[in-house]
Amino acid sequence: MKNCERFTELLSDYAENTLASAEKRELDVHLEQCSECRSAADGVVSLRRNFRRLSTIQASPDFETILRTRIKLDRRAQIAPIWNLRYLAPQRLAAYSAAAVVVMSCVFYFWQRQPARALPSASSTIAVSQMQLAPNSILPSVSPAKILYTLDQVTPQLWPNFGALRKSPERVSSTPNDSSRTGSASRPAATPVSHQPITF
Amino acid sequence: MAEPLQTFDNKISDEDLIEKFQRGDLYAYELIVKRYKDQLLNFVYRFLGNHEEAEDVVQETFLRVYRKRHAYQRVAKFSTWIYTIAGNLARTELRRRNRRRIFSLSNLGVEDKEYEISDDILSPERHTNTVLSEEIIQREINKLSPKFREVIILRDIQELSYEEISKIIRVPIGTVKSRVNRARLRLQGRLKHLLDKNK
Repeated sequence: MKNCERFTELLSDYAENTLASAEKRELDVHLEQCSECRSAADGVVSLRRNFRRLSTIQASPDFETILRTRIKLDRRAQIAPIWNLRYLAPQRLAAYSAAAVVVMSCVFYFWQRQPARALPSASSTIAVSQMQLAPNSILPSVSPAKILYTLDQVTPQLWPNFGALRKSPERVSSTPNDSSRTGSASRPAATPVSHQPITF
Repeated sequence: MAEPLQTFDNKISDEDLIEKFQRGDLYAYELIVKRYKDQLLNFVYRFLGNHEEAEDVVQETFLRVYRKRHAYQRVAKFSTWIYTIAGNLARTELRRRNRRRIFSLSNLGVEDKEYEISDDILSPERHTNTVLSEEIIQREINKLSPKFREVIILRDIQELSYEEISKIIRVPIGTVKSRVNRARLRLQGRLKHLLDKNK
C-alpha cells in the first residue's frame, strides 16, 4: 500500500504510545487493512517488551578494587619527576638528538649568511697602522699593507669596502711592489711603509 | 546507623556528588562509581557484546571521570556527561577491534576464512521451541551498524529519553527518533519467529 512507508515511520511512537490522537486513529484504520504493517507494529511492541526482560549485567566483584589500583597507578604516573627514566627512553633520546642537530644547523646557516656588520671598520685598520708606527711600541712590527693583505685573504666577500680601500689613491705605498700587486695571489713586500697616516 | 547514611546517599543528586568530588571528596566519587558501574556496563556490554572488553571500557570511563572531574560543568546532566565518555570509548574500542579483525582475517588462508565467516553457528531455527534467548537478541543487536545499535540500547535497554540520547551522541532529536524506529523495524524483522513465540 502506498501509505505503508509513512505509517511505518509512526510505529515507534505507536509502540511508545506517544502518537497524537488524530494520527493514532489514522494508523489504527491503516493497521486494520494492512496485515504487513500490523505484523510490524506487533513486532515492535513485542520487541520492546523483550528488551525490558533482558537481565542486568553485573560488574565483577573486584571491579572497584581494580579501579582503585588503576587510579593509584595513574596518579603516580602523573606526578613522576622530570628525571624519570621514561624521559630517557631510546626513542626520546633519538628525538632530542635530531632536534639538536636541526637547531645547530639553523644557527650555523644563519651565522654564515650574516653581513659583515660586526667586522672591524676601516678606521680600526688605520689605528693598527698608527700603533705599529708609534715609537717604542711593544706590538710586533707589521706593516699596514700586510694587515690589509691579510684581511683581503681572509674576508674578501665579507668586507666589500675593502676593494675600495685597496684602490684608494691616498693609500701610501713605499715600494714599487705595492703598486704592482694584483688580486690576492701576489704578496706585498714586508718592508716598512712611511709614517704618513692613511685617510679614506 | 547505616540506614540513614544510605538514605542520604540515595537522595543526593549526581550533580551534587560530582561537585563534592570536585572539591576533593573521594567518598562522593565512590558513590558515583557504585551508582553507574552496572548501568554503564550494561550499555557498553550490549554495544560491544563482550563482557571483558565492556568492563575494561567502563573502568577507563571512571578513570577519565577521575582525571577530568574539573571539566564537568553543571550546565549538563552528569549522566549525559558520563554516558558520552563511555559511548566515545566504546566506539573507539569497536573500531580498534574491527581493525584487529581485518588484520587477522587477512592473515588467514582461504580455507580458514570459510570457517571464520560462516554465520550460522547459533542458528535461530534451533531456538524456535525455546524461550527468547538473550544471546540471540544480543547477536542481532551486534549485527546492527554502530549508529543504530547505540541509539536502540540507550532508548530500549537503558531507557533514556530522546532528548538525553540526542545530547549524548550529539545528533538532533529527529535523527535519534528516526534511527530508533529503523533499528526497531530491522530487529523485529530478524527476530520475528522468536517474538511470535514469546508473545
